Amino acid sequence: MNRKTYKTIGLGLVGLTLAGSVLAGCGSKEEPGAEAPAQNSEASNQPLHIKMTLNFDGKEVPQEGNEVEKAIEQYTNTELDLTHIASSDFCTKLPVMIASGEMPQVIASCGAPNQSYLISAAQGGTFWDITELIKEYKNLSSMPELVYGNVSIDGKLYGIPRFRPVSRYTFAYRADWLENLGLKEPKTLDDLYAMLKAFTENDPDKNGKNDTVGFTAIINNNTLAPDFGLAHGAPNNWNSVDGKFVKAEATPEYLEGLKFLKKLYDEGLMNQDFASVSQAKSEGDFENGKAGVISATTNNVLAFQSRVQKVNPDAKLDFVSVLEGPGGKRVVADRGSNGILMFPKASVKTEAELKQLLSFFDKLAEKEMADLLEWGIQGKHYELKDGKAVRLNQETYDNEVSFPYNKPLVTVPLTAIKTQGDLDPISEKVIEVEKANEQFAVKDPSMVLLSDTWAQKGAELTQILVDAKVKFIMGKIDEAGWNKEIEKFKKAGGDTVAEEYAAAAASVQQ
Amino acid sequence: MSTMNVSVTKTNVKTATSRGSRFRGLWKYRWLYAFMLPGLLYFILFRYVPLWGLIMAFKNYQPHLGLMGSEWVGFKHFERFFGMPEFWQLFRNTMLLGLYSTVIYFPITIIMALLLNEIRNEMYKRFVQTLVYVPHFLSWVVIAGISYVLLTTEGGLINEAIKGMTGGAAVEFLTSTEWFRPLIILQLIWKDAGWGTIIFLAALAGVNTQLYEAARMDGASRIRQLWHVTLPSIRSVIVILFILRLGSFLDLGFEQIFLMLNAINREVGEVFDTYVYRVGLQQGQFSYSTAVGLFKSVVGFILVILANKLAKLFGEEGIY
Repeated sequence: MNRKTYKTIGLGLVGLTLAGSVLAGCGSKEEPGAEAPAQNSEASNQPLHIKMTLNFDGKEVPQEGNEVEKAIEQYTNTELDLTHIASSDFCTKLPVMIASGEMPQVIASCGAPNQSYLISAAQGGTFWDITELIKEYKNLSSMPELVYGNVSIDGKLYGIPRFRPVSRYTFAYRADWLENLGLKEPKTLDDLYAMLKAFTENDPDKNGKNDTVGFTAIINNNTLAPDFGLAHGAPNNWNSVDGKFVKAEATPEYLEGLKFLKKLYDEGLMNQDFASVSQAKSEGDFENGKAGVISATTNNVLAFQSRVQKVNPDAKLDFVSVLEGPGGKRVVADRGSNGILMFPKASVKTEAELKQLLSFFDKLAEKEMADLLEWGIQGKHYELKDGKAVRLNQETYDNEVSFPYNKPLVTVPLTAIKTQGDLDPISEKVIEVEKANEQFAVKDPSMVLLSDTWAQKGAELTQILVDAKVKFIMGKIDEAGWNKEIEKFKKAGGDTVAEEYAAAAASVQQ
Repeated sequence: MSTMNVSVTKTNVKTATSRGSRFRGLWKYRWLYAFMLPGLLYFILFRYVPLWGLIMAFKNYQPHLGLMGSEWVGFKHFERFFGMPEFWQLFRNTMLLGLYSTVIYFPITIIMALLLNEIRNEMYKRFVQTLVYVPHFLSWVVIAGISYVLLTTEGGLINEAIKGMTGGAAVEFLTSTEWFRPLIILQLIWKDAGWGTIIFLAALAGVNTQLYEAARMDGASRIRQLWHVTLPSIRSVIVILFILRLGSFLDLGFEQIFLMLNAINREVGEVFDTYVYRVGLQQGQFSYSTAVGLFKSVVGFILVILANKLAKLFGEEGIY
């Protein structure tokens, strides 16, 4: 063996080490567990390190270690390590994260926890079951019982639901335009139609140009907004009659609602490119004063107002939730929560750790934290006047507090806990409307039931219906074509889903 | 390949000394082998080891159970895929888009390379080349945005021009079944045709200039030179690129199509890739997605083999 031989062996060894390190990289599945603070229960003064992955609806994630985050950390004695993922991306990333097994201590679900991969993961013991534990926490247990029921899997709770009002869908409109035209607040569907017509044809912005349109509609996350089926008497998603389940779209009332929307489209009272428009463009049209009405939820009307006023300081917004239609006063009842926060067993090893995390969320609902999350930092986001909080700038609060911390982290409703505020008219109306809507809210009977087929094929099936709606509105198919699409939906799995729901409902009743 | 076969048979019959000489050959070229090692490792680790994951297509993969723990289901996912009513629609959409991009986009890159090659002013040639490469570096999101601004019926530039010139109604470029495929191909050409010329230009640069001189002596015109000298010289490059392209025949730009899809054009626009994304990834059905992906790869594999056979039939070298 000469020197060259050693060189060769050396080179081989380098190769092997390289290979070894790559392989080691593949096998690092166990590591996240090691990151979890196992010793925390003993050294209780040490801040608890919490890693979370959350969905995010804002524009920009604030820098780590900002004032708000520090305030939360100080109060709860934690060290937060938050990963914000845009909601539009979150739903695709969540199954991959679950599949990789590398999960943080707290992870949000993608909307309602009813996807097949999530159900099977929960049933397979990936996440902690907190059904019993949650009752021990003063604030967390104050959640309305209905909210828990709507996110349970087999009667078990696998995460803390993030509360939001049960009925929250509204139409936000330009109140200043309405004034310009001398119209009154719409109360019925006919009023809405008249308003849209006037917004389109009567130059509501008084600029002498015919450059406005009534509604800016959009398809987002496989949902068409607006939807007038309910107002025409169609059920909310599913209807259960004598133990049989019928999909809303399969009812004649729904078709009437669709015809109403088609009328708006045909007469040019809504944007003609709603099928291909992006959310940014659709909302932009509303902001820029091109469109006068948009579908909104009670919690984002205020944000819309500040966005519109940025373009036009004289603009004023108002909203209406329940419009009386041929079917009476009806409004969608939602699940009452915006997804759940789950605790993967892979990173939360012991029940003691789980309890620490639960008490973190419990603490977030104490008065001091409630004020921080709902109002922000005193002097920066709000001021106290006669013991009432007054918001200084809606947009700053939205970007620095609401989107990054309030929306992803708040679980139980804080309205009653926080310092009462000196509210602007819209916020006051929101509280009123959310309360008043309870009597008009139409429940979705399938919400508490599980269907394997829906969990697996729900998105595909919904797509068939949404595509058919768009085609009908744009006149690509007629009523016969619509009925054919409904048949297609039924054959592709809709019928099976109805049967599974019926069976599930029957077994619940027994 | 044939020489290697010969050497193998030789060593089989020969005695121990020749085996020693083979080892000596190995030793002699040891540095070349060493250079090969990283590449070899790369292929083993990142190309062959992951193949193992394909068994997912035959299992009911549940993330919390792991790959080995999940239950075997045989061909269940393939049955669901082939059995669904939209299968033939997806198949047709994918095939048609693949076909159009092969018969329209691919020749355009060659034509463009030939045109660029004919430009005599070096400065001008470089300028044009740079210009046609630029769109390649834009992301599909940007291009979809540009398309929207140009083509929307609500004040899109092109539609305004159409309305202004013909006085007619706006054309629903974005929401029609007829315009979807032309739109996709046009976007593809605009974005990537310039970039696609690079390899052809390299091949064209390698054509022996003496051939052109000889052709000129014989009185061949510019067109004749192109036909009898240039094209035959780069024929093998064209064939190789064509075969490689067939391998990814069904891999249409996912992002591009996904961004252009909407309710109206879905019946012509939904392809395997977008379907996998929507059904498989968004709903976390990994096994099903894998089965569809495997099917696509098998089709691509068969196409490559067939194209290669065909190329050899016509006396070309092919890719192996």
